[in-house]
Amino acid sequence: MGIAGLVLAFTVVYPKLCALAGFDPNNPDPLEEVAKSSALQSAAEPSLLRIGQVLSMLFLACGPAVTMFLTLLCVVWMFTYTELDQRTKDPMRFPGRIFTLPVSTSFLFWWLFLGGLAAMMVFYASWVYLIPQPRIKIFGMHQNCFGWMALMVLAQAIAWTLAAWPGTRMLILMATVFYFLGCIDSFNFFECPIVLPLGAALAFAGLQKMRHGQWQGLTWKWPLAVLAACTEWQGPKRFAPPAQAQVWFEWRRFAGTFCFITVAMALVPGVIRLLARIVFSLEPLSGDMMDGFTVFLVFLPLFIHFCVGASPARSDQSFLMVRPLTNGEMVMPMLKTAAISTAISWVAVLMALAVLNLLGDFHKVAQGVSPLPAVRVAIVLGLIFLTWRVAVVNLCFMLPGNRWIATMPVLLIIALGAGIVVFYQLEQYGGYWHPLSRILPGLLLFLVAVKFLLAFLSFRVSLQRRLFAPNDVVNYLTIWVVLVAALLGTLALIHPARESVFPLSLGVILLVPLARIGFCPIALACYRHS
Amino acid sequence: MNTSAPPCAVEVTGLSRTFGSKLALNHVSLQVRRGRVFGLVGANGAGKTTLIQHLLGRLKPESGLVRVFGFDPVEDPVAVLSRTGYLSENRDLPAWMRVDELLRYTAAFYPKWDMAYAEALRQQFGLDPRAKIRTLSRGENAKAGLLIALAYRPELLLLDEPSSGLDPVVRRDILEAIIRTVADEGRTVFFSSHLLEEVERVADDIAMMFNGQVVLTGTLDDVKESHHRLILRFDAPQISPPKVTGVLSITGSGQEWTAICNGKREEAMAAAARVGGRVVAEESASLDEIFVAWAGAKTE
Repeated sequence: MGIAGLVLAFTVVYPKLCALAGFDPNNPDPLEEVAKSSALQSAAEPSLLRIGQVLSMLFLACGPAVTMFLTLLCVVWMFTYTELDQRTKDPMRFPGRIFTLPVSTSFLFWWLFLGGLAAMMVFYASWVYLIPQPRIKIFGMHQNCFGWMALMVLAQAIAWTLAAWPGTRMLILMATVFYFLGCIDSFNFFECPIVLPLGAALAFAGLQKMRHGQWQGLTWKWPLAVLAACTEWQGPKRFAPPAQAQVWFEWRRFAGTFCFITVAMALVPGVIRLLARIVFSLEPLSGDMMDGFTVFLVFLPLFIHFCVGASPARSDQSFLMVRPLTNGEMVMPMLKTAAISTAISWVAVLMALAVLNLLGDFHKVAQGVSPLPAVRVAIVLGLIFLTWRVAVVNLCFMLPGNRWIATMPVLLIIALGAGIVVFYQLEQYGGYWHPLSRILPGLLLFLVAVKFLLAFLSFRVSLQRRLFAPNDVVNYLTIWVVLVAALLGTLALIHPARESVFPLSLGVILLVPLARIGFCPIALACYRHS
Repeated sequence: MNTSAPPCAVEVTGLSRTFGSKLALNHVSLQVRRGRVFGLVGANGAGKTTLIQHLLGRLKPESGLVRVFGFDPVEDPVAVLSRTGYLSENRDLPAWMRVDELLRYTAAFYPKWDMAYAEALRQQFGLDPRAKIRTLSRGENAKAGLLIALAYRPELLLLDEPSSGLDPVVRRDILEAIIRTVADEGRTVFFSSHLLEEVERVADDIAMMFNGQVVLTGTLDDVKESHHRLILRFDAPQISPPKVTGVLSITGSGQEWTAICNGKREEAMAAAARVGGRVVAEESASLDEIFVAWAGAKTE
């Protein structure tokens, strides 16, 4: 229903938005049009407005394609018919209760197989034929419904055949998804008779085996022992301080898994492509593919850590709440493990970018971002900070354990998007930007003052209620000051216009989480002592 | 903060708690003396787990007071939890941990953790240190939870339905652990259970809860002595349970009926005589009979 709603919304609203913005969705090179419209903007216009205009043009150019991509992936996931198991936290567990229904395995299989194919065709056709969307050649997905159908069938085969090995299944599934996304435009009709029946046969066998509890005794113990040892931080033989034990706990229960996923998603596609290039003497990647790969790599840790930070589901909370720890002693390790995960993820991304250099003309991509190395370094440092930020800034919404409060991060993102669109629309009617630019520094100063006031109140209450130890507060404030100084130094690297320095600096201060961290122990107290 | 050790490990006074429209705890008051085994019995939904959650600070009282070793579990959770070992009804141990990791992690928080004792318990319970918690059976899970609750020799052991869903062998292991804990000087055990024969075996003091209220509390011996099972014989067969005032419950058929009364023995005997019955035998009631009698009385 949600996907149908999205299709309907785009069908009705998107052409009107394009007409309003003067964007031609039938342009053969929409990204070029975005670039041209950005260039046409006066350099005298405020940078925030230009950013807003570019973002809205990007939305018009790429929004339908990205949404189509996400919804079709959603269809693939839906017809694997897996769900999150609350007990084991396996994100792709086939519901065993289905097997208690008086239906044969064949019926179950054909229902999911044919239903999935039909749904894929319907949604694919809806996106391609109902919405006049621009043709973005990032993955060439517009050209191939068969590729999507094959992906869905293979996803079913992998999800059901490898149900007994959730970690292995996730890795192979991700590798398959990325392979398809890289090669979907070259998948043709003649390969369907091979992939579809093979995938269907595997899927049926997997469903059958799942139903009768087979393959559950086998493990990957010895072949993957090294990999398991690397991804599972065993920790010391004895934890000296409790804080060390808690960092280990947070890493193992949550952060480590997502860090591992980020590292795998960053390195695996590039390494596979490099090996394929060496073995099969493939051509270097095209400019568009290099651009797409680079964008994927630099935004991957940000996206994964945002999902982690916005996720309300943390396992083992009941176990943790009866440990002799203050709320602050539970919160600080979450910040530390987020920092560790960020660091490791970005090391992997930088390694992947180094591999990308061997796959095509990376120098051109880098020059396209900025001709100045200092600016590129500043962007990377900014993204590293943002990655850590998105992982921790929403903790205060997640910790109370209330699902409505936990939706705040998503609502904030929607509000941010709406704000950008409103900015852009206001600018169309002119005349408002100059007064706004005059009051903006004052407005930001006011927000910074509110931030400091809230931080003071939150830390004071946390200290009074002994939710935070004084040492922890001092440590975090020290880190906050160091972070802000580092970011301001990074800002200096890019030499912004003189009149923008003050508002940008205030923006940096606003970005580094302070009050929200102070509220975390209070938020946790709402859950711990409900 | 109390500087001298309070005589009671747990003090609950006038505790009330609602969940929506349901009154889960209704002015509950009880005291658990140090060095005693306190058994809390009650039907499903009586409020046992809710009470235990208040002792751990997981729930905040809406009215009333909760003190564990003189500390408020909500205001000072560390002071309470560092002296309390807890085994939950749901055995919610991290499924991703191995047994040896669980021990190492838990040991970090308790300075009094006894490595040798923990290892001895692990071997006694037959737990594989390399086994993941998710692969353990229900009984092994309970043993692992009990192991980490006992290994640092807590002053207070809180067990929520420790025997629930376990086979007799595992239940025996848990009971032995409880008895050993009590044998150590000054340690206290507070456990809730449906299995009344086990409560009878190990508890020194008991409380019975129904519909969020404590209806009965005292030492086990006093409770049993205050309840009597009267075998009544009627001259004429009774089609329905005779109305005998002063009894908690009356069961049987025909001419012979069994009544459980609470301290009002003479009144019950007189009332039975008024409806044509006479007491032919009198015995002490078992805890099971007392519980069922109170459950029936509260339902009416």
